[in-house]
Amino acid sequence: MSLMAVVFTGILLFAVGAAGFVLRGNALVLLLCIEIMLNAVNLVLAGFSRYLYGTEGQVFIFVIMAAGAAAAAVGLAVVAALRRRLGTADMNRINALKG
Amino acid sequence: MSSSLSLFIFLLLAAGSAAAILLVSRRVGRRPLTAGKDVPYECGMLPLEKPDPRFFVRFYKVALLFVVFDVEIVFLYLWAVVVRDLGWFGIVEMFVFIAVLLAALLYVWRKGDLEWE
Amino acid sequence: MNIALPEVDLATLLPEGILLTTAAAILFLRGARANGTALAAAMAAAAVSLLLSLFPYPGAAGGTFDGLVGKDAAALLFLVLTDLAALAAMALSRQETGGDENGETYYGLVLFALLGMHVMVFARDLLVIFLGMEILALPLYVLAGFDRGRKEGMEGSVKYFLLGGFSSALFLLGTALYYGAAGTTGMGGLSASPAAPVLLAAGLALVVAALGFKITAVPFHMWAPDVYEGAPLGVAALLSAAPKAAAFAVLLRIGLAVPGAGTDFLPWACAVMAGASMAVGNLAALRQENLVRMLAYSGVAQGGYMLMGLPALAGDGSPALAFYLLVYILMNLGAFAVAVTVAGGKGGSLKIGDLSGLASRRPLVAFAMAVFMVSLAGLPPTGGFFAKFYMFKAALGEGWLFLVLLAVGMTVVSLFYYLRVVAVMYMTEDKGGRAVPAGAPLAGGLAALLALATLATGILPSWIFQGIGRVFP
Repeated sequence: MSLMAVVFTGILLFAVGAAGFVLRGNALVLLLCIEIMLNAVNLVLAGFSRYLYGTEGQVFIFVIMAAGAAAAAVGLAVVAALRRRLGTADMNRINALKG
Repeated sequence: MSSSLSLFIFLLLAAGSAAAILLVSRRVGRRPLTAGKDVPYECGMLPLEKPDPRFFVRFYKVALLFVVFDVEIVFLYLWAVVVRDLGWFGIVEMFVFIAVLLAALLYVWRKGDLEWE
Repeated sequence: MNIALPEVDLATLLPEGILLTTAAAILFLRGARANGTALAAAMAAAAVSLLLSLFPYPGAAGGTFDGLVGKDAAALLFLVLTDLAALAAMALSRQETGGDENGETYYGLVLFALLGMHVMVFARDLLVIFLGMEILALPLYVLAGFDRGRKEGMEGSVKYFLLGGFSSALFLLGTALYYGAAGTTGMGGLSASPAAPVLLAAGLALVVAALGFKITAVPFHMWAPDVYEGAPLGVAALLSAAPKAAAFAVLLRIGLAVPGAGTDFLPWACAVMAGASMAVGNLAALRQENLVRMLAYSGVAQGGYMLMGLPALAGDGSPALAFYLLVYILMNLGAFAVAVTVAGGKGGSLKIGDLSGLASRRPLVAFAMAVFMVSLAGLPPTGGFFAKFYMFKAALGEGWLFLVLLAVGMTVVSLFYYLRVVAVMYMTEDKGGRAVPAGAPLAGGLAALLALATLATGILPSWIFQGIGRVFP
């Protein structure tokens, strides 16, 4: 395993999350895609800190995880409220706003 | 450079085999599928209810609260590694951190989100 | 192992301490009068924070926490701007949450968002900036859908959350790549020539793109109209101004901190975003019937004008940008204040046609709105004219002729939709219309105050501009 392998895997994982974000419609799936992207970033950070710079980058991972968990909590609450209100969480079918 | 070459070959193999599996199953498989193919288990009991029952919101609420506080507690591990070297400063800092978390917990309690009924 | 403890100078963070404790305390309020108490306390906290930054106490400026945090004169200026925007947005939220028993949550969340903006402004480290962006964004996701009676609010809130989460992920990937190239996430790590300029450039491009979401720069503007329309008007007003100020503070810091290899694409990237924002924002605003959506697209275009300051940083770009932000906050929040006084519970679905005959019904409010529209269009004798004048001059001085020509052309386009509002107010008969709501004194007074301030920035522009210029070295 080399630094390049780890970083490329992380960036590919990020691309998977981003592609899912663009292609899928369900709000919960989009939330999952965001989480995939955050974890991909964590992988990249871990790679850089393991191979180049020491432990600092690994502390960043915890910060990102904490912020990600807070965001997921808020996001799930918002999505649950939307689904209760409109009966669906499919963003392609929710379009009262446009123009 | 050899490692990125091997990574590239790995990716090519992975993408190729995934595409091959999809293509072969599309070629060999018989279409259209019968209704029985949509059932979760093709033999045995028929499902009694839909596989995505709606849960009570309070399950989500408790789960969300748990996740948030659980992840915050991770920082205690980092702190525990260096607490000896930090001395009193570290102890005070961690109590401040826990006090902030407690304030959040107190708010949740006050809002009644810890009540099950 | 011996760990060097960071130098902690809490006196520098006094305003943030006040904001944090007040916000947390407000959340615990309860009872019949919680709404009013929360509003008063939140506004007092924001006002104290504003005054502490405007008239710095000894020790107000300085850097602490191992250089993660640094307040200089420029940071203090941007803190004043964000505080001003938040203060005005809270004042015009009074009407919105009048009958709502969740006032304490509303104002508490606004204060938390303001705290996040403070963190963004004074942070010197990409990871701390990220934390600030999250502290800003998480309350706003909730606030955007605060009006549970409107399903547009829910929809806008979810859209805002999803796109905001996506932009956070982009920002983090950018930070990770930056860390890989520079070995640190601090802004200071850039002075030396980086080992991997391509990696650094990719990281910074992602960071700038994520900040583009906050300033609604094209192509990252898609969420703004939907979210503004669905949100309570006070939240839309806050969203339209305050996060822009904070994000521009970060962009300025990045732009000023990073000369050299791997960053020379930044001026061009900003110029392209500026041009695209002006074109798309102005052209889309032309065909809006909804007042709030029109203001949203107008905000996109105004963000484009402000972005012109970044390619011109070597010249007068930074003071021109700060002056533009000040005027923009005054006039845009003024326009929202007028919207609140005439909306009467209609919220974000207010149409431009609803203003018809306003001049005969409420001449003072109509006059204030006319001032804001004329200023947004950039006509003298208002502050908007001088904001554009200084900005165009700064960009010309650095040789961005085509950008200035595009901006002037787009300003002419913008006259159509801004002045259409004035025409609707003054030249159409009131068709019996909707009954005038029984006054929103706080929002009305705020509109008057902001109209006066907008005029004042047009009367004393050079005095204010020089004052701002002293802040930047």
